[in-house]
Amino acid sequence: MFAKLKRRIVDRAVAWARRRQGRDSDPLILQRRRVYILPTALGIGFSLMLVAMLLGSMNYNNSMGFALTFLLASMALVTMHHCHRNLSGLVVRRGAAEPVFAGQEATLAIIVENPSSGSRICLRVTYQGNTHDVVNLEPGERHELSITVPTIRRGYLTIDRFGIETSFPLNLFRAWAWAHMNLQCVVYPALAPRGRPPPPRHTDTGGAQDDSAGGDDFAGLRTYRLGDSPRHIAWKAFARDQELLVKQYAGTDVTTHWFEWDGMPIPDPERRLAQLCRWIVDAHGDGHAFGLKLPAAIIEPGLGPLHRRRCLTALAMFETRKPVAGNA
Amino acid sequence: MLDRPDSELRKMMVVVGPLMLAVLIHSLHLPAWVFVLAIAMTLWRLVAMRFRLKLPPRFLLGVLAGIGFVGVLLSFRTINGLEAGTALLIVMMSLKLMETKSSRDQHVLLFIAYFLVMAGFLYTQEIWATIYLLVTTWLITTALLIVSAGRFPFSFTRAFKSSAGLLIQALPLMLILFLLFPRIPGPFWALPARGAGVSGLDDEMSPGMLSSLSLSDAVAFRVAFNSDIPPPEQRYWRGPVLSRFDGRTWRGINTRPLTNSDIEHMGDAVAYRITLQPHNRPWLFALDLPAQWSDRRARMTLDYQLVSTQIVDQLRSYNLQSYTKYKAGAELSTRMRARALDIGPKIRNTRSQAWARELHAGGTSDLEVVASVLRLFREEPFTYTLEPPPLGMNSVDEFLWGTRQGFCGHYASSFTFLMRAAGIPARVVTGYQGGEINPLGGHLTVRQSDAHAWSEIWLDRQGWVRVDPTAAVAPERITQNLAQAMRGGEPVAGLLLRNILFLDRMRLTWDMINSRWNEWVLGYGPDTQLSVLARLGFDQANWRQLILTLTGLLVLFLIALTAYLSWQFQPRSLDIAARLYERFCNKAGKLRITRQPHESPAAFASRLSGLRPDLASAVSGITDLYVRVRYEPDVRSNDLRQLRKKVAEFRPRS
Repeated sequence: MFAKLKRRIVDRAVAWARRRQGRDSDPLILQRRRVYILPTALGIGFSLMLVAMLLGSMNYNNSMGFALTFLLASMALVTMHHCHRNLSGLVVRRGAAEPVFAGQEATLAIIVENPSSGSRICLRVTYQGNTHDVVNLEPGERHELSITVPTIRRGYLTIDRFGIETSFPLNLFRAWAWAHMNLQCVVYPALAPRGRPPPPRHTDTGGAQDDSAGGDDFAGLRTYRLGDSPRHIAWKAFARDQELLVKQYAGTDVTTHWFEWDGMPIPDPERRLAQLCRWIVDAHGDGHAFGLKLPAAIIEPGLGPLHRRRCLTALAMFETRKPVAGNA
Repeated sequence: MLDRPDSELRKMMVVVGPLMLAVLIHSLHLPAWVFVLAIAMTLWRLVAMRFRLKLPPRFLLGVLAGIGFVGVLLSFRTINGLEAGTALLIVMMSLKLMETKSSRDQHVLLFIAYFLVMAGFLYTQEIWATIYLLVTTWLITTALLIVSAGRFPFSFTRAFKSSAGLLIQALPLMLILFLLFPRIPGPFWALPARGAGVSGLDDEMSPGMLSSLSLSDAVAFRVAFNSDIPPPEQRYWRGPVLSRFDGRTWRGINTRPLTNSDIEHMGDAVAYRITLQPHNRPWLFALDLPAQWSDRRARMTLDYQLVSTQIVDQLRSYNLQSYTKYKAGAELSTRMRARALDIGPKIRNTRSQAWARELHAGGTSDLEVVASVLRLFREEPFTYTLEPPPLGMNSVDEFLWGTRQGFCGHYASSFTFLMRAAGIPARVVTGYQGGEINPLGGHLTVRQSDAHAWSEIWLDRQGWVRVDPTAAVAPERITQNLAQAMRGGEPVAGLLLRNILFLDRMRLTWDMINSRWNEWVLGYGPDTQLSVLARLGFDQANWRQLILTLTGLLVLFLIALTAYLSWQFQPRSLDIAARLYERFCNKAGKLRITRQPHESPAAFASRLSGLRPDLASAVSGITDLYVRVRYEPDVRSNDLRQLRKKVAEFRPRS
């Protein structure tokens, strides 16, 4: 019951802060008025101890007892200010996020920078009540922090709110700020298990070259096209003429895979996407060229990580109208 | 990013160190086994951590806790009270240590350490102990800081500096609270009496007790006079007044309060302030005879003794007014008279009884009886000594007609007995006599070696009159001090020190520092607070004003603190890296190679290197670092330091 009450209070506070602050710019400077602070459980314990010490001092009318009690109470108050100061003025920016397959953990980066002349110790980034990363920042330092989130569905994974908090110096108080900036990560469809063979290759002499099928008989040179394997570039010619040419070999066809949405014997669209994903990943891993045909888009055959990313992103976004709100 | 075990061990040692320092001060007054347990548990914990041994299971800790509890109960016969409470806290803390894993547990241990420091102050507030305990507080705070910094390595130097910073910043507010926080007098709950171990006068007096007390050089109390210091022969500090005698020992403090004062004061008042060391007894000392006193817990008994409702187990300061000339107790009630004539068991000290009766038989006046007894002391070979032979149950007879060697207690006891036997109401008064004036502090220090006993007899129309039989034997004891009275070369406490001039000066300085410390810091209680506040212009009755002032000062303090921290944390005017790169470009400008506005750092570097190949490596080093610092997500202060160094080392010559 207590946990439920706490949860409700936190939710209300979060909603209030969101209304008060609005969406944040990038970079975000944590202004003094948006850094909140409350005593921690330890802080409350400490204050109870101070009350006991005060009563003891009064009872024994002990001067040094009073002095110690007042010293510790004042120190607690001082740490409250230090704690608040530890956070306010911090600069927060969005960082990059590598795409992941659904089911894997996504790592979203934020960058924090200390523009002040004082050190900031033990800054934590939190998401949904859990601490994800910790850092110390000396004056002028900048550091990347990451939030790790499990993913379930394909599409855009968006975190629209995360927290930055600290309870340094003595853990008696916790200062925090909510940052409302969208952190996004592309989530590819989940990978289907291996097993189903990819569709047969098509011969396409005009397409990109297939790495693995390269024979031995050199046939000539042609100009480089995006996606050609670097292994076939004629480096000597490049050194001579400053022009990128690609060696072609006789005896083998230049072949590509075509992965097509239509005509797959899998009724469930998500599983169909998962299978396409698997083929793309395997083809890329083996160095085969491939193209992708979706009802709404056709991606011409190609090679390389950029091509792979383009195809997988197209699968991730398949028939989604807007970015999927933060899951997990 | 898992915690490494050795860093965990280091953190645990950081916690345990100050904790043991806080425990150490209690080893002075707690049974040894408590201390040994604490050390054993600590070592066990550290060894277990170092060699990754298993910790004892919970049920074993439970059993140990039970044993510890029983041990405390057996040692103290209670778990209530300061000593038993402290012992229990240390026992439980030692066991808590065995299951400490998380940083929260370590915090709790350090909180306990603070509490032990507090308990330490309840035992002793002497200057050396205060310094020790405050340093311990600093170390505890440092440990708290290191534990709070989580897994980040926090160098000791830095932690020491930071925690000192926190405490120093807390100091102004502490002073404000210390001065202005309302001090409410009195205990809120009954305190079990603390065990013995503190020297001082007792509520009984038997032969030899005072002489053993006289060997102690410990301070009993200090007196600051607002008026002239009375001469030594008037400095009788009244303590327990004893009326019951059993042939050997005097007892029986009369605790009934004096409801209608029958004291008539004469002459000039002496105004002074006593700072009394804790002696674990309820009575206060005062110059014979007090008329007014500021301690509201104290009242005067029928025997003119000041007794407090609370045992003096903490240092206590109070203001007094006394008159050395007075007339007290003109009327003696039958009950009081009977009490003051009781000679105890008639079968004891029979020879003295007979002698005294004989004195008074021939119609001689009371004063003549007194004179005859004093003449006996003066003219017979009585000696004043710190080491009198032991006496039995007929102490008066044995002393008067046998040993004839005694300390002040022997003389007061025998004299009072003789008076009673002769039919003159009399009683024994114990207390202190004299005291040493500290020329540096201007105060008077009264030590245990000044302990004294004298007599009071009741005379018609004059009331109670003080008679000091010791003066008849050793007048120097009264007019000077104990050392002067001991002409036989007997060792007197602290005498050796006094004979070396330089050491004596140091001793007096230390005494003065202690006096000021006691009076202004330790003695700052409800009474002092009111007088200090009155001097600061506060209406005594108006607590509202006080609380308003307190709040106002608190707000001022917080504003000052915020301003200080803002100043400390002010943002830099310009990006450090940009500033350093600008300096580099300016240096390059001296070669008449200036960076064009359209040029990126890399382009500028390649142009510069092309023109001056000798500078190429320096230029690329600076440019690479600059680009890193500007564009990489991670910037550590080491990079900035490197960049600063390289730019400083870049000294192109044309």
